[in-house]
Amino acid sequence: MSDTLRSRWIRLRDSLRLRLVITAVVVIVTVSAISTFIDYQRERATLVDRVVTALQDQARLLELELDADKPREVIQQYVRRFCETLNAHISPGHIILVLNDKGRIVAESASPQENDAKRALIDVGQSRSIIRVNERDYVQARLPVDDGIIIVVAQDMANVNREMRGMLSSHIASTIAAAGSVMLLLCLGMYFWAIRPFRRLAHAAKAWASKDFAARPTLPGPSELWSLTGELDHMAEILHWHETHRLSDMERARKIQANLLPRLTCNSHGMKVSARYWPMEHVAGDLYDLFELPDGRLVTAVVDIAGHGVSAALLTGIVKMSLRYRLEQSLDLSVALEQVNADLLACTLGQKFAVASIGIWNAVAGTWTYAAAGHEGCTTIIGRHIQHLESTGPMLGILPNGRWDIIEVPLKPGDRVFLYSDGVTESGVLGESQLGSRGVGDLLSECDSQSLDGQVESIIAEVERRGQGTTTDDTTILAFEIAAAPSLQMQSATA
Amino acid sequence: MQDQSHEMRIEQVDDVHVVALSGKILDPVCIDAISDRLNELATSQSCPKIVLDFSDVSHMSSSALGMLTTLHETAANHEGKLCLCCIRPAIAEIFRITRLDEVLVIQPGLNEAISAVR
Repeated sequence: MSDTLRSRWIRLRDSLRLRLVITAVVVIVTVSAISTFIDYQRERATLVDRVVTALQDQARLLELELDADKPREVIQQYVRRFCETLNAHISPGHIILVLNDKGRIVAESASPQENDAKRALIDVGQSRSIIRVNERDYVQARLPVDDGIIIVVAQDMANVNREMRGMLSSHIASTIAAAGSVMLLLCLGMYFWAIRPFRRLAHAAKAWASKDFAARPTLPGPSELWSLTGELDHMAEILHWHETHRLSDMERARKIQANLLPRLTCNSHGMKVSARYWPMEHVAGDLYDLFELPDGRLVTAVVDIAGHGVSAALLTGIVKMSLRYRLEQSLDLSVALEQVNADLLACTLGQKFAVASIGIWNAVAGTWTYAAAGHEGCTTIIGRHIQHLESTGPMLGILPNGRWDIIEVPLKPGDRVFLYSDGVTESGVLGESQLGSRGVGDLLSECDSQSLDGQVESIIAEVERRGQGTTTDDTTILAFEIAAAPSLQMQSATA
Repeated sequence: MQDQSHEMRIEQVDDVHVVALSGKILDPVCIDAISDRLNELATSQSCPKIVLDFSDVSHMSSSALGMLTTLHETAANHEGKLCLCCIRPAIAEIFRITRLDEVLVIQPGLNEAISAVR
């Protein structure tokens, strides 16, 4: 059995519909069987009474013709004729015995095949109206007459039983028809009063699960479900209110966080810049920044707070402000990172951390000074050579006495640098293979003829493809190219 | 004693809690649940000795690193010891990049890890 069939069977087996139908069938069949049995017994008793009454009437008719003075042969002949008449005109299977006061047969109509029945009728006396002989039932009526003579008239029940079977069959047929009708009505009732309302509830629940709190079940079922609907509607209204306010708050937070991103339009430093920012939720734990130091150098940074959502987003502002302030104060990347680390530790008490790729471009010297905190999110294209820059120190916010080494990379016009968060390198993790920094390098190599924007778009497209249109983490890329002419055009976009 | 929940199985080897993590430690809710259970383990007694067995962990997100550093600190605050072991190369790379391998005690095998926390 395929998995689909098995799951359908399990769903049907466990459904309310099947359970109610089975329960109804069992109840109806049991009640019908008991009712049919009682009716059968009652009707059979009535029929037997009627037969006994008829046999007694026949015995009385016979009595009128019996005369003790008549010769035995005459009586015998009359009894036989009388019995033949009954068998021919009323129903077959009659036995007539005329017994004397000692229980001996005076006259009889029984054939030799009926000897067993005859003996049984003599032996049983009048204690039972129905006797069973050789798998056949006989009904008897006894009429005592003068001089201790007893007329016994018996009839084979075969005809009666046949009639009873016919009655039973029609009774069962009518019971089945009635049970079927009840079942049909029950199924219709279940569908309209239970299954359909529950289906609507399920649809509403699905809608609520997808945050469509405006969905209402509108149940047309019984009043017991109305109260449930009322409670669920109330719950949905509360959820709708909370969700609306939450979304409104998150939208405000998103705008605030978007304002944290740089809006620098600069025509110095000899750089072209491209950036993409793709938060997983309204707000992100990612941040990129681009700002000028008092000495004229340009800082490029991508910071990724562990996790995502509100808790991570709260820290992005702190890290941004700390980084800007500390760098402007010290003008030294290594010192600034130590201070940012201390600031983050003071805020989070080691419960939350950040990874970062930070570089400072010195247009005058043509050098790029770089440090990475617990992150390998930097790929350079120098000439046509692609290189990944390693982490130069621990994550920020973990170690009180962290140290970060500084790398100095000489850059020439046409060289490109890509800083990115782990939303890029860890993309595709659910599909078993992460993109990784090597994957980023391979991708950049494949599209090395593209513009800076084109290469950034290619990375984002690959992340999107791996996530099948969604992302499991905040994704940020900040890339720049050393331009031949000293001009800086900041192009940023939020996916 | 054996306790199995979320993506973890806990066994007691003498006075050492051996916690076998498994699967992909990616989902923040799952990480929070594992973190709660591990912190409960670290704070339920003095001098807790905890070994985290990563042999069945195929993927781990950076959020899980926070859980490990918090656990490391909690265990240290209770004069306990935490050791990680059987880490696959891809995950060991994460520890190397983030320099957490300089903070956390990491052993190649389970027996070495148990010995390290005793």
